[in-house]
Amino acid sequence: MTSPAATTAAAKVWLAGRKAPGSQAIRLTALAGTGVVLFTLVQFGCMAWLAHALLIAGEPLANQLPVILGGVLAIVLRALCQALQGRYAANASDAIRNRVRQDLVRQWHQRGPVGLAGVSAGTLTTEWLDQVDALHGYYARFLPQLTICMVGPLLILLVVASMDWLAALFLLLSAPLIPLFMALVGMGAERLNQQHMETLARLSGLFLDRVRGITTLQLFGAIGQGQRDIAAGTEAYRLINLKTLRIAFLSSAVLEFFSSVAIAVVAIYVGFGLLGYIDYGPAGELTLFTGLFILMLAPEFFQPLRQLAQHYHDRAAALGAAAELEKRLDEVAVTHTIQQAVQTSTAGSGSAIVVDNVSLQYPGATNTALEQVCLAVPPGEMIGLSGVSGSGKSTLLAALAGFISPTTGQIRVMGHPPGAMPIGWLGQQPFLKHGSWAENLQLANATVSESAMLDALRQVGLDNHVLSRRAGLQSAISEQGQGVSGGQARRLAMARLLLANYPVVLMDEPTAGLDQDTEAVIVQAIKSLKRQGCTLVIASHHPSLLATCDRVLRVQEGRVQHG
Amino acid sequence: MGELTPWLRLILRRKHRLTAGGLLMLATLLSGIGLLALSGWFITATALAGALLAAGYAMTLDVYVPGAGIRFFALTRTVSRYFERLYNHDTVLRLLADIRVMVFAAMARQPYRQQAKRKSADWLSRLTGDINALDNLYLQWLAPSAVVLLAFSLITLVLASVQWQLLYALLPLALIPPLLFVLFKICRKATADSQEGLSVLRSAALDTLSGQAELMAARHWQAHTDTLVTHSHELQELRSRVDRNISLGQSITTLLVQLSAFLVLVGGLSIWQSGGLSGPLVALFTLAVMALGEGLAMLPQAYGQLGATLVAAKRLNEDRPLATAATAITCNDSSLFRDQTLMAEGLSLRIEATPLLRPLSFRLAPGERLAVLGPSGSGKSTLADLVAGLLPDYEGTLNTLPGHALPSQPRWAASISYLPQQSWLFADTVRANLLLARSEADDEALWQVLHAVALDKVIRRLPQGLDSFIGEQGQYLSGGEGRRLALARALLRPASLLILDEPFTGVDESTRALVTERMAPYLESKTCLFLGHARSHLPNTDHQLSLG
Repeated sequence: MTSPAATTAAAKVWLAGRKAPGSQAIRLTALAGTGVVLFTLVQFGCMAWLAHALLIAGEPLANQLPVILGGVLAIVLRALCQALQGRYAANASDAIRNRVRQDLVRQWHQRGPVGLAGVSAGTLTTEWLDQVDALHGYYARFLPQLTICMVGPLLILLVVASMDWLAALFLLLSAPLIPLFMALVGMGAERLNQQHMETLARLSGLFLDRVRGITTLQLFGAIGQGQRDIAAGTEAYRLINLKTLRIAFLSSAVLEFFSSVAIAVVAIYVGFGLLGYIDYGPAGELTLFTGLFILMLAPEFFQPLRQLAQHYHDRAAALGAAAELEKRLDEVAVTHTIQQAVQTSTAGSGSAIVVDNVSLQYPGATNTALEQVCLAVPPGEMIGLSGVSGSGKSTLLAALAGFISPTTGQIRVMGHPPGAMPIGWLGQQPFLKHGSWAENLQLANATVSESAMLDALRQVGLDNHVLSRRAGLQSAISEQGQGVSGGQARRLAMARLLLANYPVVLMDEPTAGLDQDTEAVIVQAIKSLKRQGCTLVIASHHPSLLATCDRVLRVQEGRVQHG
Repeated sequence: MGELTPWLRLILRRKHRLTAGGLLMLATLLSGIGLLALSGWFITATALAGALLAAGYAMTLDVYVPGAGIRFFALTRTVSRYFERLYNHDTVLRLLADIRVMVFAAMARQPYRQQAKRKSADWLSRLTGDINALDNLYLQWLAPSAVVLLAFSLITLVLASVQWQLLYALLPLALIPPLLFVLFKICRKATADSQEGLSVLRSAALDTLSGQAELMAARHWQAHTDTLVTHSHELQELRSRVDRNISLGQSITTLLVQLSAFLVLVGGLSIWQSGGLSGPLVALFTLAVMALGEGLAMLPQAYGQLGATLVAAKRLNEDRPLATAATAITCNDSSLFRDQTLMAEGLSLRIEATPLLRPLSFRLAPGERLAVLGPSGSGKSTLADLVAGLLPDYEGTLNTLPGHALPSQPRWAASISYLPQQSWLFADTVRANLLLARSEADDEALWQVLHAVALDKVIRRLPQGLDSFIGEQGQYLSGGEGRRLALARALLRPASLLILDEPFTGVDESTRALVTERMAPYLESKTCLFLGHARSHLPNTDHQLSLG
């Protein structure tokens, strides 16, 4: 168990380590933001000077043309810097996010289907899209603002101090109190939030739960009840949230309070000083110029901090995402190494598949998944692998496909290391592309003709289904919200294999979970594949499928029994 | 903008809350303006008085009223800001409830076939996103726009009454509304495109990851993941373009506000020279305009993102025709079908020429039991849906009175009890799930029906008994237990026609025998239609019919 604090610290380190590709843009964002503060100072200085020169010193407006122009220039430059800050920020995290996305893709590749078996595609997609995007606010807004928070207020403080050290002292004293109060308030809100975490999760899921069960509610004539549940659930959600918000909003109230009080204190101090009511310290030297200037700067002193507080949720989101991403990227990937070098081996040159004394042990496992397996499959042979689940059938198939590498021994598929050349694979979850039937069928072979596609569909009994659609082969595989059923998906994958002309096809339980009709179609199609001259290795429990194999090997506790 | 109409109408139903929240927001902004403007007035006034005093003139300046005013505004700004945020977030959460109920009611009126797609996680997350976009409409767009407009009008009115010749200095501010409109127009397409792009990329990533084994074996994996990465770059670029436009809008807003304040200062000073305006008032108006900028600063973001809200509203409107009546019709009369014969003649169903059920005929007299047998894909579940009245587009006849169609949905549903092949258990307690079927049932009736499906012992062992939470989709129960709870719910319902589709999925053989025996009293005097792939998996019936 790691404590939340340790997780946060680790996430921070991870975020810092990932910063490099964007550090230039982050620096420029902070620089432009500091420019905004600087030119705001100049603008206010010019404005206070103008008021003083005319109202007190009694100079004509015409003499002040340089100051007027200076003020306008400062305003233009301030706006320009603000635009630049936004511009740099918009792309600040591009390179960082791209790098993380590519690293995730590389990690998927290295771990392969075996290594990722326990993680749903939905989780991986959310990580790759949403979690990576959650990093943006941290690099683009929070980090630059942190720099601006250190430089901006200091700059303002120096300018104020040069005019009146007592006013600067007011600002200086209030500044360190703010983060302290905010942290206290924030901690309170967090604790309150954790108390209600479970209830909140349950209540926020309630709406979708009722939406998904809407037909059931209809059948029970209980739509009204569903509406009442949703209203009541959202109401309970509101009450709990308000409890947290009551405290959470205190932190921004603290900021408002200090910034308001600072303006009020400065205004009254300056006013009384100008009237000569205060006769100690620097108050006697105040003028309208310094007084007005200090007053206008007082809210600006707190402005960067207020903005930082607004970006605080960016930081929280990024820390949460970082913890998840770090976990995924740090997972050891020793299960798969794809051999890029295509080297021809002379050993067993007559065989389509050669497994030479292969043993395999999963990382961290105590017993071996495969134990000294030897196998030679001549081209065109159809091999069945039988055995209870967990016996090593799937591991052997994964090793043949190159998803995992043997610990010892060697495998050759058509004379090449596994994974070096394309082969066919049919598992229980085929690849389906959101697109047309044709797109899905042309995946392996883009030049395949329409008639060949229809022929393949006929062999798996899908031709009528596709032809009855208005656009035929060009119609989408899922239409009007009606997805493809599990059986249809398997038939489609089978049709694709018939079109692909792979020399070797591996199948993992190709008939599991299918109804009798589909099962029969798949078995027929497997026979056609064999007639095409394809070498097949099929792991299955299915007796009639195993009966059609040329040879059936029993796999037991990682050993293959010939005969 | 028309797509927002039904939602604005819904939001505006809470007139009083919206007004109160808007007034709090206005109070916050005006306090900020008051604080800075009065402070500026005060400092200038004291500087002028100080200069006169130093020059030996006798004069008095009331410092206590302005001083108190400054402290007052400092306090009201803090307090009203706090309560404004709290109150308006409360409003947003109330609006969320309104929107959810409205969306749900509209969905309930949709035909059954369109409900199928609601199962996809992608669709559900999009629905959540769309609703969230709408519940922020008030807080981020509607209220700030109205409040800033009011504050601006107030400053204009006061300035006009004091010195109308200076009004031209506010002209730069008048350029902000057209600027926001242009920003909305520019960003509209890009925000909509980036939403669509994200949705496409999400499903492509899901497809690729789900088919990883097949793609890697065929050596297509690299090409597919490369495409994903390229598309994610494009999407990122599209979003940064929106961000860049918004920040450009923000900087132009700053430029206009500060130029206006500068113009008030310089123009005011020149009017002061001719005696048309006092010095302290020049400072007051200058700082008032600068403080107004605080309210304006949030608007570019709101208008840049408005396009996304419009898309969300449009999608919700398209998906669910929003009728005016928000209450669902319910009917509790279960006697409608009693003593009537259910007749099907040449009943069949095809969707886009794909036959889902081949023509069939049967008669089911009151109290009779019919078993329909067939392999999966033969149309059993379609038949069950048809008899339950969920699919109105069938061919042939299906009725209880010759020459009539089935009664319309809420009335027909009241007289049947249907256990579909895929039953849904709600993330609620055992009790709440059962009471759906018969709201007036007492504990004894509930325990009785749980005993009938052999679940009573399981539920009694739970710490909270009938009030135990069964988790999302009943995940705290095993598959067989969940199925039996759904069966219990169907049995409990006072109905004349009972339809059970594969009632014993995931239930082992000995339990099946026990439940078949114990549920007999619940079948008495009911007309029954059972569907399954084997006779042995169904309770006893008078007749049977084979499909496929």
